Amino acid sequence: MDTQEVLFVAFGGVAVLGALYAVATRSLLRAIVALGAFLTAIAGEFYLLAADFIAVVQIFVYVGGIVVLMLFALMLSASGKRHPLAAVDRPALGAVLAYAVGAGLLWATWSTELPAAGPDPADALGSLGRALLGAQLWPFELIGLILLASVIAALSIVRGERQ
Amino acid sequence: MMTTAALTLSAVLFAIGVFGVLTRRNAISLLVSVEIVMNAATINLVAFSRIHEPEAMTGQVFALLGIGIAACEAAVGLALILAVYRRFGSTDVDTIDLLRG
Amino acid sequence: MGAVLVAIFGVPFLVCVLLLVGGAVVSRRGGPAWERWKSLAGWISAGGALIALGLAVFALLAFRADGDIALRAVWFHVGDLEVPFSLRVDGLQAVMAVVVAGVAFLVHLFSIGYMEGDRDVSTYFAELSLFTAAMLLLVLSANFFVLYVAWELVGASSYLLISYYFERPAAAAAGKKAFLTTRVGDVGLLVALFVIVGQTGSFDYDTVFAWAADPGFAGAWAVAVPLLVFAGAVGKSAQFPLHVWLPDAMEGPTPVSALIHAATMVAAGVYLVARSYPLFEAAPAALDVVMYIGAFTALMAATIAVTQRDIKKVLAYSTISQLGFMMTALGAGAPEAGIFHLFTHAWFKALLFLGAGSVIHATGRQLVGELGGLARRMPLTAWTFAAGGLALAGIPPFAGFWSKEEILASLVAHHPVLLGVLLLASLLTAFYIARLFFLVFLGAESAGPGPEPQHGPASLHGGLDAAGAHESGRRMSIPLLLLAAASVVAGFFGAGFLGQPLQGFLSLGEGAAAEAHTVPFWLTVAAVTVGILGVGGAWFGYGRPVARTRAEGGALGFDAWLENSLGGAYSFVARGYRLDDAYAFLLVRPIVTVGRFLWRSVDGFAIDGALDGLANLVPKVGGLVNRVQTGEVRDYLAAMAVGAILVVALALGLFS
Repeated sequence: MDTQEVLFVAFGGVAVLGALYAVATRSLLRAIVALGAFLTAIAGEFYLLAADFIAVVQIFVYVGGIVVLMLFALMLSASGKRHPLAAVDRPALGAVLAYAVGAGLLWATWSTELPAAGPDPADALGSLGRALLGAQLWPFELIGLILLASVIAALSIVRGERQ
Repeated sequence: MMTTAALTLSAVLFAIGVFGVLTRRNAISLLVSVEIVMNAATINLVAFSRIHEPEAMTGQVFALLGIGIAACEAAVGLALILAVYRRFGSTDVDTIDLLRG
Repeated sequence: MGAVLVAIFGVPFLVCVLLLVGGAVVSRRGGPAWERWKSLAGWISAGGALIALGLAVFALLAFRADGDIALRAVWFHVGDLEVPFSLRVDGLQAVMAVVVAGVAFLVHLFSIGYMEGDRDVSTYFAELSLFTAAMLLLVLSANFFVLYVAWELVGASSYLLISYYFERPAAAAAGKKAFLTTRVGDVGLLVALFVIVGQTGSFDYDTVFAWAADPGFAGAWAVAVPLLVFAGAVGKSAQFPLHVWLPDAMEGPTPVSALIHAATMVAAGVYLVARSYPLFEAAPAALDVVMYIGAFTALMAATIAVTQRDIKKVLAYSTISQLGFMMTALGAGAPEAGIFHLFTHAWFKALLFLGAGSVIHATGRQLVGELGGLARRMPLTAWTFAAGGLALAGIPPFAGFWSKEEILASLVAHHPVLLGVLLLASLLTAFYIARLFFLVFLGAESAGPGPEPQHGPASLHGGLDAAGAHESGRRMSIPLLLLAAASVVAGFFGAGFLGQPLQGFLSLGEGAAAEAHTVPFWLTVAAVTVGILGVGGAWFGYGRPVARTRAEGGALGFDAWLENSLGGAYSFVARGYRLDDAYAFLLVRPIVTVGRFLWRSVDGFAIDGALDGLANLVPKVGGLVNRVQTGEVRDYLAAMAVGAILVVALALGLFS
């Protein structure tokens, strides 16, 4: 096993553990922090998969944006204290379905002949830029619109009742 | 080799996320689990991008856009949660069943 | 000329439509316009009948000059069969048309006065015009299909008119009874038409009659077809055993009884047999059946008529009896005699009915026990009624004598027993009609107003007014006078000593006309004697002042003696030999029972159960499906997860 694979397994382990904790814990605050750890590990995975730009974006947007947003929402809804509610409800059904999904996907993965990975492009960032502004221009512009729309939406939803 | 490992990881994380979605009662916890699911999918996309035409970077573009969408969804979702909290005084999804038939 | 034929029945038909549509429109407006419409309706309708009469006379004269007139138009095709709309006028049909239109016109005129102020007068005249149109179409048709259509139309309008006072349960029931009973006969006629068209391929009279002569119907059909046709006649002309509807039909307004149940509709059966005579000539056994049934009916009805206490019922049974006379003549091979009697009977029977109408209109009562002495107050009615009665009784020189004599004469040669039967019936006829006259018009007036008047127009007058009953107005008296004149004169059209112009005109059946038709003198004496005996006997029992004592139970004169001595037998006869009760027990009750059973089980349990069950199923299923919508977010997420798994499995080919 070379360095890449070791790191891959390490990051993967962190991710899995973080996810498990986020899903199982009773405390919302801890769940969100675990999510943060998870997201960072994923960013590492991205890097190892020759998607360094994605990794950086992941850190900025997810960890720096979304996790913070969640913390704020947590704060505003005052649900951070430990609830008498069970953190996990109806675990049996969830476990069964999750297991089924996971098993199905794993079976699909391990039973197909995957072609070998091609050589990584020399100028990854440049290729990404050329793709975004070339073949994938439409989606790139549309995502801007969607971002705008969702900002307006979020604002109006939160503001809406105060009329 | 790494592709298979990535896909395996993605599958496991996806399953964990689904478990969380189905299980948690708090609205924000629900959102956390959804983020886990989406990230698992993104790993899948990036892994496949390396297999088919790495030069075109289609998978990575898709992943980028996916992250953007995830951000929008989190924003709007949290705004909704806040509005619901104000209305119902609780973030427990089980209490929000006004659409019961 | 064809246009004339169409107009004869077309004009009254259009009048009917006009009155119905106009009535519907104007009645909604109400107010003075509606009142004016109501008073005009009768005149419009009478005008239509008058036009029809004029055209019918015109057609008659044209026929005398030029011979047969015909109209033929293509109507429709069914496969290979072509059904034309064809009309024609020959001797028989021309005479029938004039009779029908003439009586109809006089009845329309009479009705204007009789039905004045009635609520539904516009509908009444519409229905009356409809009947007139249908009956005229019946006698003008040149093929069996048009005949049948008109036949049914006549039945339908008769039903409407009988049930005119439909709010009275008795009237509604009478209309149903008439329709259903004649229906039984109509089925026979329909089957006959099926066989006719099946074997000859045509409905035309000429074609069918030529076929009947040669090669004729196959095997047993040769007898069956005329018998089936006769079945239709038995229904419409109220012969035994389908006569039970006619007495009940007296629930309708009296002018309706005059028109339909005396002069025209019931004559349709006689006309049918006469028109289809070639079919009967080909099967002598059928003619015998006609004859025997006719004679039996004549006597039976005459016996019942003697026991009746309601003016209209006496006249109703009298009609049944006289129709029996006509049928006997037809069966005996003398169709001209039968038609001749139809001709005279139409006039004097209509007269008698309208006279009864005059009485009912003035007094509000129709039971002889409550009437009497009306000759003083209503002399015109009395005199005209007497004229009609003498005609019915067969007293010369009145019309009925001549035609009845012809009928009796036809039996002399081969059927002496039936001759005796008819003579006896004639005796009873004279007796009961004289009885009716004496009880109603002579003697002392009945004391005080009787029970509630049963009948529409009289109820407006409230029965007797302070001055007592009074003679009817001009509109009702003029038809009475005209009919009385006809009752005297009509006989001469076919009298032997004048050369029987009518019979020659009819040109029916060669065999009958070829027979030398001299009436033996002894028969004439017998007929007159029988008439005088009947009238005299009635005078003895009812006319003499001494005889008019009222016994217990209100029976007058001779009736009291009869009731006492015959007891149960008397009431048995008075109730029509309880034939109605027999039918009710044998036919009506089983049908009603089966119907009720089917209603409860099949309709109630099965069909309603199925439909209600189906209807209830929907909410139940809905309720079950409803449970899916819990409103809980996580349930929906779970469902999505399941869906996702299924998709994955599909993609993996696990279901292939």
